[in-house]
Amino acid sequence: MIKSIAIHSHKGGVGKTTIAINMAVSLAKQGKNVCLFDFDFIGPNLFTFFKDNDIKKYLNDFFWNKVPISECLINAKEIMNLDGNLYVGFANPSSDSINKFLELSSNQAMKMLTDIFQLRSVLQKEPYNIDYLILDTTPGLAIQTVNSFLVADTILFIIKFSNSDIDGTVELISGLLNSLTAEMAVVANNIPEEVILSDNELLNIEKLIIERIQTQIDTNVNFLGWLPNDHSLQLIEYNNAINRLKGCDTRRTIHTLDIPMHPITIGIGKIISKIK
Amino acid sequence: MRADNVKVYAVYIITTDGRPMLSQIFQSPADIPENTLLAALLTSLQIVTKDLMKEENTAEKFTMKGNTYHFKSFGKFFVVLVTDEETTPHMIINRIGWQFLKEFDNQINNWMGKQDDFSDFKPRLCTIISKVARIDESRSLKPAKILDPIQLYKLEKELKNTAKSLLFFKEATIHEICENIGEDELLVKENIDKLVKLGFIGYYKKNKVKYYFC
Repeated sequence: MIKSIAIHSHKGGVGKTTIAINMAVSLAKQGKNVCLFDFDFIGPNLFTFFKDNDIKKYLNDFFWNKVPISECLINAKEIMNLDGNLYVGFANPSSDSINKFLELSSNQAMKMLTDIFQLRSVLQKEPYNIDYLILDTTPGLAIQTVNSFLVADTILFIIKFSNSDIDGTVELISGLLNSLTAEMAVVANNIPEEVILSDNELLNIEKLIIERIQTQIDTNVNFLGWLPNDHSLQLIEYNNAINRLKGCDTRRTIHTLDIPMHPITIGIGKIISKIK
Repeated sequence: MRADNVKVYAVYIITTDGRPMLSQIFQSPADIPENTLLAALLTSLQIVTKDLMKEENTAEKFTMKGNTYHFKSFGKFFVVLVTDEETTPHMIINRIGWQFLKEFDNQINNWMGKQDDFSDFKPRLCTIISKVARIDESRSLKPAKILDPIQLYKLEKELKNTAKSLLFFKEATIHEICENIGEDELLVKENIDKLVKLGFIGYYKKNKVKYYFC
């Protein structure tokens, strides 16, 4: 049975896509068959974790141009040397494609939702046999976000550690809880590295978050864990960007693939074990 | 006139002063008017045409939403037949009218307005019509609203799985939905009825099986 997880956030830039790709790779490394979709059609970002040459067609082609899904997915198993299959579907970052989603009509959104339900069913069967479907959603609450929510078994909310994001996320979950049947869980991202050196401090943070979530929202909303920030990543990303400007076909760092012993990789592993 | 190709959607028997006596609707109630309103419309039409033409019962038919309403007076009542053809199936109307008159002549004079009094005649209606015409028993109902993601999101939680399943199938029977979502048939039936009432789901009948769609 396929398990679908929507990775969501109240606002952009909280590390949603980074967590989505890291989770997908981690699961595929464990031999699971995973499908990862960039459903952030307004601000596509997943493609930055892959080289240009890897990407042939987009999910947009499946939804609007009737291109078979098999042509819109890449299997990253070989590229990344994974044990399980990792099928990835990208959102088209072109301005025309983004505009189309900004003007999405009710009928188009309904057609898209029907396609997603059927796609989920297709992915469960041969040749895909997908165990996990991970959806990188559009932040906030757009019509295409609702599509992701409706197909998800679990919605994982990523909180970046700032007051506005915590407050916004708490509000968002409270509002969604009455309308959705999916399980909801929270992950705290970007906890300063200095803090995680102290177990006591971490326990205090966890306690505070759980208290906030469960008293203000609902006891059924679980806190799945935290992920540290990575100061060294800034330099790596900078170098990647420079290389790209120089015309090299580069991709961004995926901790669970490139740095197996990094605290982010370990944190992702712990989160996955709780979702399973 | 042979009326093999005529499709009959509904029959009404209405007193000449505008009170509905009997109605048998074969198609969707949403596509066919409610009998009290139809009776009122018919009575008004008769009054207006009488004033215009200086003669009684001159109006014989009118068309609404592609359906033609044929009517004929039998003195104390009108027979109204709703069909997909503009040509009036006189034979059917006459048979219904005369048989109704023969059976209920005395009751019509003393009728107190209770529609159940004539309900025994409903099976006879079907027999008369099906001898010479086709009855559209699909009772199809088109959804009045689009079940888009926002509407689905706003639906009460209990209805969501059923609605999602229908979106997945595009059209399905209650049994198929139950198998898909693994829920109890009675519960799914209840949810489907609610969704139909909300206007998100339509249905049609084929070979006595009801198919739902959105």
